[in-house]
Amino acid sequence: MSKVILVVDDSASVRQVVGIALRGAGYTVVEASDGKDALTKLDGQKINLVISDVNMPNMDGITFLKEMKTKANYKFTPVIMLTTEGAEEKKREGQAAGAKAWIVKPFRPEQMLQAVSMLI
Amino acid sequence: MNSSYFHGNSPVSYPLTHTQRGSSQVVVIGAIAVMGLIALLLLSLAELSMVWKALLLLALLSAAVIAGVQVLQAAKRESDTQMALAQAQSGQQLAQMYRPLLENYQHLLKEILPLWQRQTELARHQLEGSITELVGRFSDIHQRLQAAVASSSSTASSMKGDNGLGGVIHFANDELSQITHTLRQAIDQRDELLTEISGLSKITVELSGMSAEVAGIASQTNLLALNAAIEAARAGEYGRGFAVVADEVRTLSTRSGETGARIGRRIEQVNSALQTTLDRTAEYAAEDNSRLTKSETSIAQVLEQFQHSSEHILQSAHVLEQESAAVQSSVEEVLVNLQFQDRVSQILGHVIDDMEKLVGAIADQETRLRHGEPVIAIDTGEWLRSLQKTYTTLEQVDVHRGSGAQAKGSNNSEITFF
Repeated sequence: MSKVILVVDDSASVRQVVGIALRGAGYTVVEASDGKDALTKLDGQKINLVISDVNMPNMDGITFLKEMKTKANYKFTPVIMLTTEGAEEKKREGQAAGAKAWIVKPFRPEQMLQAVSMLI
Repeated sequence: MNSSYFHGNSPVSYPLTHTQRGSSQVVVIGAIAVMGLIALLLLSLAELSMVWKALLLLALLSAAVIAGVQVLQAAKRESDTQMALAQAQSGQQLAQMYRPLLENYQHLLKEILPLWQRQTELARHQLEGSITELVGRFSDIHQRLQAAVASSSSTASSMKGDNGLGGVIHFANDELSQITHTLRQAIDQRDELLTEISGLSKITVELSGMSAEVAGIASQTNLLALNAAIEAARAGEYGRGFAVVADEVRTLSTRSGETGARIGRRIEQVNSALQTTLDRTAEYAAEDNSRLTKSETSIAQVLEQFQHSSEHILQSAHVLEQESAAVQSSVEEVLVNLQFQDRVSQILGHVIDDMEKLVGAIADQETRLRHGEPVIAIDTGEWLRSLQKTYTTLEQVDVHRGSGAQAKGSNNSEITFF
């Protein structure tokens, strides 16, 4: 059974690019358009890894990450932040919230897959 | 830095305060003058000692100096007051002059900013929609190319190796070579058989000789029997029995001669038939050899063409695979570059948010003005600092600083592991 990855991004085009790369590598992809939507997608579903944007409407990526870490089932699920944010301060904020990697957009799908394979 | 403006504040209030100060100075000067008159009156009295007179004179002089200074200050203040009054009047005139302009700007901003905001939002949505559509199309192309490359690669692999097209050609070559070899062996065996039949022909020649010899012996025996009959006739009665024997011998020799002749004719017939068979078989053998040679040549040519065609197909498949892979790589690049939409969308989002903030600030100022409340001026520096805090990309910071910005290269992703 293939591993499941939750992709959270308010940009449909980015979700598509990420989804294609992941599905091409044999992963099952679940998509969410913001942090709030992602929390509903988490409910009861087996998720092996999360790739999340930072700046999103309704609920940003860092808040979502903190919320997710409070849930026992997803406490140790690895999270990769995929964002246009490149500032060190933001990265530290992400690290403190529990992110395992930080990728700045635009990204190369093969390098993202490399990061995924290192964490999953 | 905040500064306050008071709606309806009259600049005339400043000169009024200065006039009140001037009146108190006049009272002081008046008091000093009265004190000076009293001092002069005392000096005119002869009963006072010289010391008291000197002291009074000194006090009189001091009062005169103070009064002089006060007069000068009052004159300066009066001048300042006049200047301030003139400035205030000028400011009031300017304010009245600029007021319609300010109101015009305010009205324009109030109307135009939401429009700009909505238009920018529209552009942002249209950009996102179009890019999403483009990404979808390119993704489809990418997937189809991936399938085409995989199929081509699989076909090329199946055409290579022992079980591939080369293997089939090799197998066909082996099998056909074996068949032609078998046919060649059959022809050789038939040639051997013909050689043996040719040997039979020689035997029939020997048999013909032997038949002629039999005919010769029969002829000589006949002659011998004739002589014996003559001798038997000479012997008379005594030779009668011998004459019967001689007659029988002559009959036998005649029959022998006839039989020999028949054998000779039969042998000639057999020999003729053999020769005809040999001649025809030789013709067939030559034809068979020619056909077999032609077949071998045709098989070799067909196999060679087949081999050539398969090599060409393999080469074409390889080129197609390479080209497809190159196009696939280009499509991947396009997909990476299309991610600019996300960055542009965020930048436009920040501009829209800032416009909204400005619309709110203008509305707030307008409300305050309407209610006669003091208007808080917008702190430009604080506003810009606040705007800068919303930036998510380094390009935005560069643009904010006026140093220009270049699009982020996409050759390498910036990845940080924690």
